[in-house]
Amino acid sequence: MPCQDALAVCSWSVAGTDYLVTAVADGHGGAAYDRSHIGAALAVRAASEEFQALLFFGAAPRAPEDADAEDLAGVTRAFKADFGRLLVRRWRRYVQEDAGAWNESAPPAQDADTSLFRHYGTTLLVACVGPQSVLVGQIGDGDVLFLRADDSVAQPLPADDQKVGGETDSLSMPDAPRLFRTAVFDHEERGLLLLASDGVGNAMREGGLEKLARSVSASALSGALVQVVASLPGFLERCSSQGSGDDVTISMVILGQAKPATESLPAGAEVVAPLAEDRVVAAGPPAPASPEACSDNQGGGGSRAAGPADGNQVDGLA
Amino acid sequence: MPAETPLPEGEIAKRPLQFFWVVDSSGSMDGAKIATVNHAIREATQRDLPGAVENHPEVQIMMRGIKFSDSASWHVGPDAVPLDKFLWPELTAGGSTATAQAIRLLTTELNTEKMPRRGFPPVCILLSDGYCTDPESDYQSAIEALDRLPWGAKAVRLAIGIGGDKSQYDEESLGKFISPGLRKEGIGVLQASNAEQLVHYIKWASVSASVASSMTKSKSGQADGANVLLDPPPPAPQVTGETDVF
Repeated sequence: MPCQDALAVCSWSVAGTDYLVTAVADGHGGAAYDRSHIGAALAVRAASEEFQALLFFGAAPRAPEDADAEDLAGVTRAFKADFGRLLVRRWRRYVQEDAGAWNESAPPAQDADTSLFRHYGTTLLVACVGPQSVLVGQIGDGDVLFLRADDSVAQPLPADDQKVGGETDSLSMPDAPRLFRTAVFDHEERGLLLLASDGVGNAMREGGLEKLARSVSASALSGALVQVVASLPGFLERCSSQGSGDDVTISMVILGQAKPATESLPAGAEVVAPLAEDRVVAAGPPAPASPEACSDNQGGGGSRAAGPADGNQVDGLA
Repeated sequence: MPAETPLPEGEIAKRPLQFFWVVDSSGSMDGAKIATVNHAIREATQRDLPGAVENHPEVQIMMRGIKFSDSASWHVGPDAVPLDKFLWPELTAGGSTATAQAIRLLTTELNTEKMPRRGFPPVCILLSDGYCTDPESDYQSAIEALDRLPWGAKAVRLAIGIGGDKSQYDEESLGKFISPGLRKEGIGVLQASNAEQLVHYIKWASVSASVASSMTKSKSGQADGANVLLDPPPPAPQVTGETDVF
């Protein structure tokens, strides 16, 4: 059975402001969700592209003297009001396109018809980090947390206590637009944002993700980010084999403290394309290093490595 | 001296699977029935279950036992015991059949505040040879309270009726204990007519439910049917002589 997790990391400069988007999706697996690995890959793609569209069309034009100021008011409003609906619509369109190629005899699915979408069922975590704010969206299980400079940890989208024992909301559900939750918060100069599929959280004792975030942050502060990222593939492997027995994916955005090096990392870990010297993502699961603005990957085992990117700005919609 | 390589922190731990035996210890269980239950649970927990989860090092089964006669109380608990340290204490029989009280005691432990959020769906196996002596309305409300709890609804709940024929125990009431999703899949009360069948079903139910629970995949809230996939029980050994029958 293929790994059903997927990951994307993208960065853009829009009207002089840098943004970084990362998404983690976890296909449900099991016989009823036999194309959920594709559903997860389409989810991180749809989320990245929807953020790209939002940032390019949602940000208000600014005067040159305000170029350094972040103008997220319009983006934030549109994110809260429309992102879930637009994301689900885009994901369904991609699913229908894939299904057409997969089985041309399959009847075209309507939005109300969930039978096709269920094959592709997946959760999704997505975050967009701007100079001052973070926009976070989530449907289904998984964890998003933010470690602040004062060492406190915020959970912008707390888990639903009523969803236990593997039950989760899904992009494949008819009311997915309503079930997509959003949060927006300001960040300081330093901090660490962590997105993890439920295979990571389920593998750790209570508070484990917070400890992980603090240890990575401390390593970054001491200049040992690359070393700790190099050990992530082994750590994630243990999470799966000794903890959750599930696919595991983690994406971290480190603000204001990273000093990425270019030395090689073992296959599976990555320090990805920071927009500026103070913004880095460490992530899994693996894929070949990509110098492009947006890298998606999917699959299990192994690691990947990349140094700071130098060509990751996008001037327009892909 | 080389600098120490920093490692990501956060303690990795096996995922807990909470397992509850809910065992009738009323007077009618005295003799061969209770002796067989004691023997079979020991066999299952010391040999069959450890063997079944050997290839799932990420699973930690945590055992508890509830007994019920005139009232319900912990036979093993309320603190759960890891499977590798679990020993089933000898259970003796006597008194009436407070099944509703036993289900209420189980329900208190399946509360979201007491259950580990990252755990597998719990496994609950009810064994009884009789009719609940609590008021019928109490039994019904206990089942409804169990069904309302998120972990109660997600639990793998099976029932074994002990008796030579189905009139000896309350099949309808025991059937209500079975997970609603499993009932829809056609899983009913497992009838154990003799010692051999009782051992067979105790082992099958405990092993199959635990393995199925530990294989649970994420499932969208819209999905129909049981959250845990359980194959139908294999045929029980045939009764070969009248003297074998309970």
